[in-house]
Amino acid sequence: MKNFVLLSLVVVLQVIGNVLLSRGMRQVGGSEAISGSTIVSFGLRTVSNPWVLAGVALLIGFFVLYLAALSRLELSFVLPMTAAAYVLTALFAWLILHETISPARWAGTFAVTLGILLVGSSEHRAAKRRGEAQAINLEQGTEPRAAD
Amino acid sequence: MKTWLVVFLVVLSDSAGNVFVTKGMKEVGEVTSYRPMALLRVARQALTNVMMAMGVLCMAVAFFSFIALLSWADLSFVLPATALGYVVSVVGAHYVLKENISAARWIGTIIICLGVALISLNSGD
Repeated sequence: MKNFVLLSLVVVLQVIGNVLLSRGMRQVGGSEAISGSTIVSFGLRTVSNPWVLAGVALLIGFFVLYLAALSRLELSFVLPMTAAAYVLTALFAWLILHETISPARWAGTFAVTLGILLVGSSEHRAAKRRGEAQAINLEQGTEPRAAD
Repeated sequence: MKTWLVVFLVVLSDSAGNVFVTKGMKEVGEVTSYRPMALLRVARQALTNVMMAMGVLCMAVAFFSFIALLSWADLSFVLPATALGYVVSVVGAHYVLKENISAARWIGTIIICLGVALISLNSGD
């Protein structure tokens, strides 16, 4: 349960952080001519934009929680689960920003959801088996094998 | 040819970054408390961990080679191609981190990789 909350926070922070950052960078705009002074003014506008700052703050939070997740879970479990960001982004774009989403993008979003459910449910079953094995070991009075 | 080489560099450095950072965090130890003092102690250990530094360096290489790639290649090609990172990272987790990866996890990761590629295919417009 604790891990589920942690991974959900990782995904939500990443999605909101990217949305804020992208909104801020659109306000900042691209620099047309590349010269010393335009790069400096571009840099100054970027670091003084409140949306950019808020986005970067959330993305730092995302990275810290991602590291916390990796400290206690396997990379091959955490990485597929973080792909939920794509699903959340699509739902966000569709429900809140009212963007039209192409059939190919819906199909991809569906595939990502399917993959996450597959990885998540197999982990759920494995955790349940580990719990049962531990209970049996305790009943028999044997030392439970050190699990991960 | 050059494009594929850089895609390869992006995917490889991103995956290596994930593997190194995981190795680093396993050395630092499990984050169990989120109290400020406990987090500060973890942060100090993480910042001085060699594996962690290697991981962040790899992620920086991935980020800058990704941006460089975008300067000449289409986003609708670059994004789907870099989705390969999901599978390559899990391969790294298996061979380097010795993680035990179930069939469901392999299949799920491959489906996610294909899904991400499909999502980003038409992101060029």
